[in-house]
Amino acid sequence: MNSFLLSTLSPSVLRSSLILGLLVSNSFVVAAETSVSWWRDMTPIFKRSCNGCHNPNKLKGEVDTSTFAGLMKHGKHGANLVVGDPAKSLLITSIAGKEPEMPKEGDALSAQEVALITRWIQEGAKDDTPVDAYSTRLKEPPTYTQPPVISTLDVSPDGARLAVAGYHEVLLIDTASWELASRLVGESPRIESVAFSPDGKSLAVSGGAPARFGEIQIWNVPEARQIQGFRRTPDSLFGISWSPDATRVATGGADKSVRVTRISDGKELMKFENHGDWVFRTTWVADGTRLLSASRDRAMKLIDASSGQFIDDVNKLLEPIDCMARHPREDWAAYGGAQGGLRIYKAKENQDRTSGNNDVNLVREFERQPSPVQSVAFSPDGTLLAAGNTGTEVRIYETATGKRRSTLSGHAGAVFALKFSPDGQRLYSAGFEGIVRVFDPATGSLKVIFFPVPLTPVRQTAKN
Amino acid sequence: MRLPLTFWMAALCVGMSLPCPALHSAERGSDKPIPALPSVPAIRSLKLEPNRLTLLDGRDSRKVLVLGECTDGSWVDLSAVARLKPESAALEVDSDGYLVPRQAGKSAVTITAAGKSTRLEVEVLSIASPEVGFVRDIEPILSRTGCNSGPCHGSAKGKNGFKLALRGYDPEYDYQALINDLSGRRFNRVHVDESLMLQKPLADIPHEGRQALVPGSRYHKTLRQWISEGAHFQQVSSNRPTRIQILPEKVELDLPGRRHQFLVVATYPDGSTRDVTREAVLSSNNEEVALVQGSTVIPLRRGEMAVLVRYEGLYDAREVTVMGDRTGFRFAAMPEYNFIDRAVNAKLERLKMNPSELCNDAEFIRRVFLDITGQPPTSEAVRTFLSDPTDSPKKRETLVDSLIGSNAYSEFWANKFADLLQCNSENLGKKGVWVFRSWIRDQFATNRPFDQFARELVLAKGSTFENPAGNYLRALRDSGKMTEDISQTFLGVRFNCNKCHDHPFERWTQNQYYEFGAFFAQVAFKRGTLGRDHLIRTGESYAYEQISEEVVYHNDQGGEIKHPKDDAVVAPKVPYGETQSIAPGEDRREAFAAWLTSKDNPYFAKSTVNRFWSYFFGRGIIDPVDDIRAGNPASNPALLDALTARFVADGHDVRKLIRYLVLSRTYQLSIVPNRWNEDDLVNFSHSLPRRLSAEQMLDSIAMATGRPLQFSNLPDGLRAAQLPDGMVAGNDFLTLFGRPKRQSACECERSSNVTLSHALNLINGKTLGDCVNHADNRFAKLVAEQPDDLKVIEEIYLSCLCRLPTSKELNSIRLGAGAQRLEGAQDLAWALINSPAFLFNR
Repeated sequence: MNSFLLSTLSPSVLRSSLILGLLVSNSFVVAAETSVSWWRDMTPIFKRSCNGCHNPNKLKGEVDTSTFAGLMKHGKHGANLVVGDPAKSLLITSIAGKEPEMPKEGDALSAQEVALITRWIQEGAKDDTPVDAYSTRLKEPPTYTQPPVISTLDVSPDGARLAVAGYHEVLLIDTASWELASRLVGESPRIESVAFSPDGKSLAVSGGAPARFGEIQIWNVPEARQIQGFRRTPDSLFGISWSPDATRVATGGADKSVRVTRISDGKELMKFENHGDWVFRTTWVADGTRLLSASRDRAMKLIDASSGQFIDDVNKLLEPIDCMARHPREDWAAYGGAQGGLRIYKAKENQDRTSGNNDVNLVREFERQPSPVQSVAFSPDGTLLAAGNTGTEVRIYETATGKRRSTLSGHAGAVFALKFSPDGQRLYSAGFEGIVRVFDPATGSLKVIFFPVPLTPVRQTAKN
Repeated sequence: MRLPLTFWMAALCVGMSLPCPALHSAERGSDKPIPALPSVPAIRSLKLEPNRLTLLDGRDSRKVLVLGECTDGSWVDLSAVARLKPESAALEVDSDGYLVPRQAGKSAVTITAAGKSTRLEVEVLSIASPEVGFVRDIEPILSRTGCNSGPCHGSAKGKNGFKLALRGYDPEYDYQALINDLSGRRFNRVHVDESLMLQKPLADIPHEGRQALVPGSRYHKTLRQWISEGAHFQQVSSNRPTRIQILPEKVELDLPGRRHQFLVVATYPDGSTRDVTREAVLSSNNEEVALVQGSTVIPLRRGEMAVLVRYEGLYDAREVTVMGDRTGFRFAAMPEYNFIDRAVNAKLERLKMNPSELCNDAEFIRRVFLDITGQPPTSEAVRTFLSDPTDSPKKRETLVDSLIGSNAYSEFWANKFADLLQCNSENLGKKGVWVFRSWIRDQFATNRPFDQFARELVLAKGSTFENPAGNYLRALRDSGKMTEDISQTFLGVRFNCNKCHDHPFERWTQNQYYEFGAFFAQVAFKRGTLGRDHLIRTGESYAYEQISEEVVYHNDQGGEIKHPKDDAVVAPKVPYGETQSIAPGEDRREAFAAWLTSKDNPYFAKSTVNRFWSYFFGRGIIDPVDDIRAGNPASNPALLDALTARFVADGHDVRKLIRYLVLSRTYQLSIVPNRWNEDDLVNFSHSLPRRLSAEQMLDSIAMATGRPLQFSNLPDGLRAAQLPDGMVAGNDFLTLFGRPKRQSACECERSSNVTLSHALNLINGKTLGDCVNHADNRFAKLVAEQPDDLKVIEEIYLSCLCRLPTSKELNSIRLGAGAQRLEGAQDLAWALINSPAFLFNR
């Protein structure tokens, strides 16, 4: 039987029919008396064959098939469908027929799939998307059987609180008792950056859901209450930083943008689109008149914070930049790169460059780190620079000499987050393992180690 | 009276495409219908491959092939129709026909096919599901689903910000990308199903690469398990397989349409094995002969092909013969002139093919002249040879001995190797090309053993004028090009892809590229004192030649290769075998050259004899000759091995090698195929017509018409094969007919195709027209001196086609009278030169 099939069909038809047969055999069967459901029957087909190009991030032909609302919007060639009239629906004419126009690549939809979509349009193209289908809001605080990766952390200006990224939440830890003080559970499953406001009363959070949405959250720290939540862009937001007057925050994005958002009402005051790749960090310099952004496009760009005008690339473009930290006293910033580079730059125009020296803002270059650097932090007085890499190390350097002071080992995975306490007595590190470590930066000795999240049951994941 | 142009064009186009089956094949597509499944012959018994199974753990599922022995002794694969019935609940059969363990212990499966039954014993050691490892379990999934393929995340820039190492050559890099990149964005241990690395390939989140992972599939489950277990890395060295094995060992299929499945088994450093058939990538090296779908080969027509298998940086190939219907075949071996014919006969017998007849003496003299000296014989030489009453084999041998080592021989082979050694003035200057080409010619004139020849080129030091061999490294210039070109020229292997990543079709790694280059890292060049600013004449004016000599020297103070990945200095190391140790300060090339030319180097002599073979037979035993790899197997390994052994035993003597080649019966076969070898292009059962090379063509025209060639700024009468430079300006004819610029080590830089522009050039072009119509050429002299038309025609045939005209030809040609007689002679010569008999060596 099988062999008969094999011998009569051409290889490509054969492949596609076999594969499709395997994939969709369950979803074909919609009994004639039951009406076709958008959510149950349509979305799996679009997911498999259309959404790759027709989604809010790509919008080929200005068409979005990934949600009902998206499909109902007009594309470049007009309405995607005429309710009740499949023959006049662009959707059907582009996928039906012997050599259908869509999908552009890959196998055509099967006749059954086309018939099913046709029926759905005939039956009125009704939307039965569940109300909470796209919601990421949690009903209960998350429970953990495994520690989440810690992507970021920050210390409050008074040093009393540590904000640690968890899954769907930021955990505030009391740094005296190491007890969990409060849980800031929000809409974003993934937290990319946290930053205490200068007065320590607010916490700015950026994150989102990868490839779905980005979000800015502003929290009242003493009350552990969310004040603001702004969705922006179809992917995560990174590197949130407060303006010195604490009225605005800057963020970087997977959409290659740098944005300044007013926290009182969420108004976007500035949008900068001069980067060629994702922007991971932002920081404010020159008393808040300028912004510095760091991107995978290898550049640290100096931007006029109010007009959004591009001023200059401050650095020589050597490697994708993964992380950046501002010097506490000078208008300098240190970056860590994907090729292990660790350098400090003046955050100013690069106008003095010549053909002989095109790296005039470079203050110091440190030894090459053994793997990509994903976290950097200055000590409060600026004398030390700590860098965490995707190996298992944190290295502490003297800013003035470039000399390595100590190497903090013991991590069993990449270090994504580093911060000094305001008194300079502690260095917090965290990352892949989901464990917070507290070091004495002077000696490099480990003082405290703990899981910031409540684990049920506690499972040992750190392996040596 | 001239015939209308269209007549000749039509004749020419038809004629040129007719005699060369190789030209046809290139145009054939592989979109042929799949032949119907032939009926299964009567089966005597069943055989299982492997014939017993041990399942190591709960994730270890395996398959057996069910082969049926036919009553005539042949085998057919019945796996697709076999029924597997486990004897207990300890085993299940999944939709792919794999046995999946459910309980530990011994069990068995009854297998039924084509009315026969057999029993398979299976032992399940454990049903525990072991921890998923990144290197052993996850990387193969990334390869199989295509995540890390060239058009997707394996591309140089990745896709959508996510990049993987091309086809999984660097597990550390991939782990970084999946786990550490972007602070762990792509996985989620807390909510495994919210991991981006699952949501994207499942298309839960829009994925331009569509649904690469089937929800609920084995791969999906394995990835899920890995993340929930903590997404840990794994030691690379103990978890990458060391070997892959293709089952069964030998596959011969009787008829097109007969399918056959394969199994691929990987062996790990701890000795354990795994059935990786579903994760491995199997492909056909010849889709004309057979397709490969999944792990099944589907033959389309009679012929040979290889199933290529790739898994985790390991490569293997299984050759498959599709015999086709050979009813009525009886083998008629050719007489064995030497060991070559023995090896060729053996292969032909196995493939049920009969060799063609011997070519005649006229065909032989033209063929052997062109192949050994690059020029056709003169009409006098042809007359003498044809009228010599000596036994044909004896006089052929005598002729060969007179040609090998002649001046024309040295010029021709110097030209050939000047291509490969990239003798062009852009690199070497005007004087450089002269001294270098002369040096190469001297090597052939003195029959320098080939290993010494190679050694001298690789080890050259000093002034490039005084020691011309140094021009080779000078032309290559940097250690990267030295790596790529020396490996291609002297080993026949290609080290290009692995500059940036491990070779996607071979075992060569990126590390090996830089280790190879490290041998040349300390080769340095400086300007010498000789030859600066020569005043030279260019046409009517004078100019200074700027390029002086250079001095090749060993810079032991500096020169290290750094690996692009981590900037670390790479120590010299050969990609296989070992070199002698290198003392500090010693020129690393010494060790390299000794290794390169060692008789134990499996590539050096083999690639050399294969290359020479291709010059005489139109294609290599491995072809292309400079792309030796597992996926490009030899059509006759025994033949290649025998030639290699003889070449090594003879001290890398090129003349002896050539002598063996041309005195074999195989070389002397006619181009005319017979019923039993007409589909053969690769087994040398008949001779393959080869278009004359650009230089052969031009030199042949000069000889046929009796007009010496003229090149600007060069002495009159120089052969095209004697031109020293790949950059001859102003000779469009040579360029048109595919003379290479000598900038590449690839044989493919020289083209030998046939196009309309070639035809038009010969019909209308100045080169041939001027030679044929010249007032002072062979034909003018002939017509003036020879009153007998038949003698004139005979002489034109001899000088153009190197044979006597047939009586039919003689009777059908009229030269005309008076002033028309010369024109008639010119027309005849022009027509003959435009015929395939002239344009091809056959």
